[in-house]
Order: sequence, then structure tokens, then C-alpha cells
Amino acid sequence: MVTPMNRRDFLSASAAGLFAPALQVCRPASPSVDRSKEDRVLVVLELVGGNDGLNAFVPHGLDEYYRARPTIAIAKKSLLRLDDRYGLHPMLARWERHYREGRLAVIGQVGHAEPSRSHFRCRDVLHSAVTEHEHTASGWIGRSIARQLRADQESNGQLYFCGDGSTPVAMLGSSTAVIGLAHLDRLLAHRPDPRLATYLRGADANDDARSPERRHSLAAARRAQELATVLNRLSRVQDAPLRYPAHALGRDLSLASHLIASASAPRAIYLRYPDFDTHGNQADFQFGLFHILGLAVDAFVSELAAAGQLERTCLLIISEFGRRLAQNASHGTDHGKAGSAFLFGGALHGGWQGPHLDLSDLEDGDLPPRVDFRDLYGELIEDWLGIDGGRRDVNAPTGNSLGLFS
Amino acid sequence: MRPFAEDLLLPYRVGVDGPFGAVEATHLLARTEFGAAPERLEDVLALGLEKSLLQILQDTPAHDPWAAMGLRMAFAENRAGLQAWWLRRMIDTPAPWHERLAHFWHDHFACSDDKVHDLASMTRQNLVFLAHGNGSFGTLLHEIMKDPALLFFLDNGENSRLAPNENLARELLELFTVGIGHFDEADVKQAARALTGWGVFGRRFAFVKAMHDDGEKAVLAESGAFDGAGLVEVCLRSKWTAQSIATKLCQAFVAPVASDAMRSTLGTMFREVDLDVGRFMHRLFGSRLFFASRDRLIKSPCEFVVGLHRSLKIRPDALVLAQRVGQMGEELYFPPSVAGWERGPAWLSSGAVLLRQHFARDLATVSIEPPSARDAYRTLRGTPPDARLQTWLDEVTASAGPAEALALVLSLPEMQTW
Repeated sequence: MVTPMNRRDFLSASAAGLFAPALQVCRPASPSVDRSKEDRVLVVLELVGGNDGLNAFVPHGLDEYYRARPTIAIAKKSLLRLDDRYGLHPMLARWERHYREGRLAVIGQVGHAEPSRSHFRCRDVLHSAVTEHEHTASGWIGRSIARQLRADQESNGQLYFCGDGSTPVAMLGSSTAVIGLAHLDRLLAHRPDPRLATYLRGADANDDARSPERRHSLAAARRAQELATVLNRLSRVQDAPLRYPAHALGRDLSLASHLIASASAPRAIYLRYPDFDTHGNQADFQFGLFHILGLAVDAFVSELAAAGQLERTCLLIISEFGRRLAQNASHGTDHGKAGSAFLFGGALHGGWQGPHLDLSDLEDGDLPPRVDFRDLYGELIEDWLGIDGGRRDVNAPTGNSLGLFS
Repeated sequence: MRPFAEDLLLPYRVGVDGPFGAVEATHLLARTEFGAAPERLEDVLALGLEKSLLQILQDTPAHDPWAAMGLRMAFAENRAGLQAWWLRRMIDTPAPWHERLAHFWHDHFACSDDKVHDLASMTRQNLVFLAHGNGSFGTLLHEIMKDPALLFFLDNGENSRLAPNENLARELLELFTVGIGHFDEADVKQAARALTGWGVFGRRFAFVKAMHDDGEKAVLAESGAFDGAGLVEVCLRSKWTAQSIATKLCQAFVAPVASDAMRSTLGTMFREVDLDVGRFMHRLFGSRLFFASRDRLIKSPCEFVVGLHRSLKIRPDALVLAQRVGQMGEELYFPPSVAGWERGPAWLSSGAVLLRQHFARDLATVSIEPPSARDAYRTLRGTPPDARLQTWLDEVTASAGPAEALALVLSLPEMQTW
């Protein structure tokens, strides 16, 4: 699915090279970045499989919701009532505090026009911000980060993903280097090998006789050396920090929080949490999924707030599509169109953003998108991260702003 | 002038298009058998290309003495044990090509035990791949579409005449056969109707007539009162299925496929052998394209690890292996989605590269009788180290010992491609 990228060799011949200190917050000035926003971090948590936002932020005031979901709607007496319109799924109780304190923004009908309902196509679109008929191997974050680098600069230490699995396409750009972190303990068990580093430095990355895959492997080996150096600077993450749930998502968010507070100065961190594809028995699956999601995100936000880092952080929680309003015959829901996006942060306008849910205005049984996710992406890149031209990079169709960060 | 793609798929003529020496034989054994120890290389050189292909790709897999053990572990719900069992098989088997294929089909018809929750069914599915993976794709597809683990994974037990569930139908069309762009939503709906009633009872396939919709369906421009088997036949008749599978086989075992012309030629080739996998791969491995594709593929964690063990004849601690392969991003029996694992450069995130290097270091320092760094390099790459590398290895051996030099050789970037 990801086509091989030919990455520029980002090491200059002379080079402080592999052992340059991890870039501190005072990065060389880049003309198209707002300096006052240079230390801001964007964290993206993708709920893989298509999250059913209607059962997360429940429109308890709308009868259509209860009529369409006779067995899987969240009963009024079970949910945590936020106001006359919306209530929280009980397992997301920890989010109530953040909502009331203005740190949580919710957008109810985010999507793109004419989605195919295919996980893979919609996920491609979610990551690359192109239409379903196009293909590109770069991503919505990677492109903007790459563009604001100078010719001799690399994106050292700016882009991370926490968790297992392959590099998210969202982070890929023409010269971005994404650092993947998983199993931190095992990674910290070995020191970086200076002999290997020396040898790699001398290897000719532009040897045309080599296949693109070999050049890629060489570039990957060099990035791995940087990672080893960066990791050395992180003090060891405590075993199972108590406030995070004992789950991969807890581990990953804890690591993300650690990265943000460390001197590594990340710009963007990507995480994934599967599997939200609740075709059957949705009530049981959501109980477990929201339990972990609720606890882990609350732990993350609280920890950042306590460390004074929440003002410079914005967490976007998003999914490749939402799910149908009506339940199916297996007490679940099938693939829909628009879904919900949640944003947490210390410097955003919280509460319900954009139009309120209207369950009488459906397309083919689905909530149509009222906010194009690429407009949301554009706002995050330009208004939050302060990178000029971000809306163009992500093909924002209208360029409309939700005013999240004004 | 023949089109370029067809030229590349012509047979590689030894002595005309190039030699069949250590480099070529190493390349062949790497891609077909995970890699080879020196004795195996000598056998293949002695046999020559054509006879080697016949031997390597032979039809019938060798008798599997491990099947019973696997099922015992599966019934004991021993997940780590089951992963270790498969890795041991890959390392010890005398018929590694069939394991290469079983690994490929596990990724193609990807089911995760996270949802299936039945290791016995996962094991039986694994044995189906082993038994049928090298034969007719049609036979394999028929077998796997009745596989209990797959049916359960894709919710087909709940697909009934009155309340259709499209999950299996969609993945059959999108992932397993014709592929995106060659079917539409109407096909999915109709295919779902054809598959109604195909379910699981007591861990076995069961057809529930009462749930089946036996009416007329129109799928992929054909009409008929298709049931599941009928639907499979419709999919097999579509030329896009041949193209899609042939392309995927090429991308997994030969090289990335970039052009539509190549895709089309591969599809034609696959149809010419009636979608027989073994015969198709014989042509592909014997082609000019294959011998021009050295280092065009990036090894998955399994391929990297099993390759080292087979080539360097290092006895595995399979349980630890399974854990490390999982940490590198390839948890056997638990693919990240029904689309399988993300292959190619995506395997080499910085963290994954470090984990591979650490694994190589552990292997080199713990082995009882490790080969020399130079020998290991030659076995794995087909050529001895160049002057610069050899000098460096000599320095390391002198200052830190042979195990360190071996560890560094196994950590080189060229060990991640083949």
C-alpha cells in the first residue's frame, strides 16, 4: 500500500551528522513557520476501524437516535449528561471534567465527500488527504513538515509514532524521517554502536548501482542510529505508570507524554488504537474500547497539564469514517460516512464545534459530512502548528476555520 | 518490438543472459527457501537452474511431522507455543518453499486470532495453506472460503437471507480476488446474498439452508442462482483475479510491480497456467526479471530471522524468536487487519531497525559455534565482503573479537534486503 520512497540522503558530507545533539526547541528559523508556535506539538490518535461517535457523545435529545438503535443506544439513565443535547458514554466519564473545563472540543460530522466505505481506501484518504481517486505516498503532516525544511535540513526529532506496526502514511513526506517507538525497554537495552555508526557514515548512499530498497535500508539504518541517540536522552519510562491503563494505548500515550516533556521537542506524534469496526455486539466492544480510551486519554491530558505542557499540545482523535445511524441485525453498526473528531488541548476552544447533529438529515441512512476533514487538517497545520500554506498542502476544499485556536 | 514487460518475463538463459553462479544461486535460494547454508548452495550449483527450480518448487509438500504437535498446542490455547511451532517449522523444514507460500497466504487471507479466539481453527487454516498453497489457486480459494476461522473472522455466520452481512463478500472482492476498481457496491450486495448460509458449527464449516438466499444474483457481469461455491467460480473466471493474484505473488517474491503493462502480462501468464501457483512461480523464478531483481525486496521480520537461522545453521530458541519477531512488527496469527501486514519499506521504522540489529547482536554473541563474519557475509549475500568492509571487519575482530564482528555484519543495511 505504501510505495517505496526515495528519500534524499539527508546527511551532509562533513556533518556533525549522526551525533548532532537532538534539536532543541531553538530550531534554525524557517521562513514559513510562525515562531511563536514553534514549540507546539500535534498528537494524532487514530481510532482504527471506524469509531461510532454517536455512542460516544450521545445526542440524547433526539428521538431518531433511540428509534434507530433499539438495543444498542445508550439509555438516558446510563449516560453522563453534559447538557440538553449531548451526554457521554458512561465509560468515557473521565472526559467530562475536560469538557467542562474547555479542554475538549467535539466536531460531530467530519468526513469527506463520497466515501467508499472501504476501510483501506478511507484510511488512505485519512492519511494522505487526497480524494479517493488519487494515490500518493505522502501524508498530510509529512508534506507540510517537509516543505518547511530548508534544503540542508532534515526533520530530525520532529516526527514520531508511538506503537507497533508500520510508519503511518500521514507522517511521510519527501524528506521526513519518522521515528518509530515501541518496546522502549528493549530499545534501551542496547547502547548505540559507534562502530556501526562510523561504518554507515562512510557508506555511499548515492551509489546508483544499488536498488532503491537498499538505499532505503541504508537511510533507515542511519535514522535508527539517531533514534538510539535520542532514546539515550530519555530517562527510563517507569514501569506501568499507575495512572495509565495497562494496555498498549496506555503505554503509547505515556511515551508520547514523555516525549513532549523531554528535550526531544517533537512537532507531531502519531498513535493508533484498533479495533473500532463494531459490526456486531457493539455494546460489549464499545464498553471495553471506551474504557481504555477514556482512562488513557485522561491520564495523558492530566499528566501534561500537571507538567505545564498542555498549553503547547493538541491531541486530535479521529477515525477513517463514522458508522450508520441504524443498528444492523447483529446488534452492531455498519460502515457509515461522517464521524466524530475530538480535540484535547490547553489552548483551544472547547465544547461542541461546528453544526449540531441533525439525525433527520441523512444521506442513504448515514450522517453526511458537514465539516471536511481536510479543512480541519488545514486548521491544525496552519493555525495550530503555525506552518504557512498548510491548507494548500492538505487540499483543504473550503479553507474554512472552525475557530479552534483563535 | 515486444513490449518491455513481456521481455522481462522471458526465461533467463544461463550463459546468454548471464551466469548461474554463487550470486544467482544465493538469490534464488533466498527468495524460495529463506536463504541457504553452504552445502545447499553447492547442491543447487551442481544441479543448475532448471533442475533446481523443479526440485525447489515440487508439487507435493513433504510429509509434515509437526501437524499433530501444532494442534496439541493449539488446543491448549498456547499462543506463544503456536507461533514458536510455526517458526520452528520454517527453520527446520526440508521443504521451505511451501512454508514461504503458507506465510504468503496467511498474509493474503489475513485472519487474526484476536477475533477468532480459536487457535485450533487458526492452526487448521495454516495447514490448509501448507497443503494447497502451491497448487491451483482455485482449489485454495474454494478451501479457504469454507474455512471456519475466515468465516467467523468476517462475520459470515451472521449473513442470512433476511439480514445480509457484507463483510466477507466485500473482502472477497476487494482483497482476495478481483481487487479495488473492478467491482462496485452492487456486486458486494449480490455477492453477500450468494454467501448467505455459509457458516460455522462446532468449529467446522456448515451450510444452513434456511439462511440461504437461493434467488438470482448478478455479480461481476454474470447472472445465476449462485451459492458460495458458484460465487467463487465467478470470481475465478474474472481476469482481474488472475491479474491481482499474479501481481501480488510477484511483489512478494520477485520485485515491486509499477506498471499496468507488467500487471497485465503477469495476469496473462497466470491464466496460461490455469492459475496454478507452482507452475506460475516456476516461470517467474526462471525469468529475466527475477535475476534482475536482487535486493528489490525488504525482508519481513520472519524472513530476516528465519533466513539467518537457516543460512548460518544456528539452532533457534523458538519461543524467544516468536516474541522478538512480534516486537519487530510481525505477530504471526495476528495480522493488523484483513489486508494483512504493510510490506516493504514500512517494515523498517527506526525502532524496528534497532530491534533487528539487537537481535543480530544477541544471535552472534550467544551462538555456540558461530561462523566467521566473512563467511557469514558470503553465505548471506553470495559474494565475499568488499575491501572496505573486510578491512573494517578485521579491525573489529582484532579489537573486540569475532563475535562482535559477526554481530556487526548481521546488522548491516544489506542484510535487510534480498
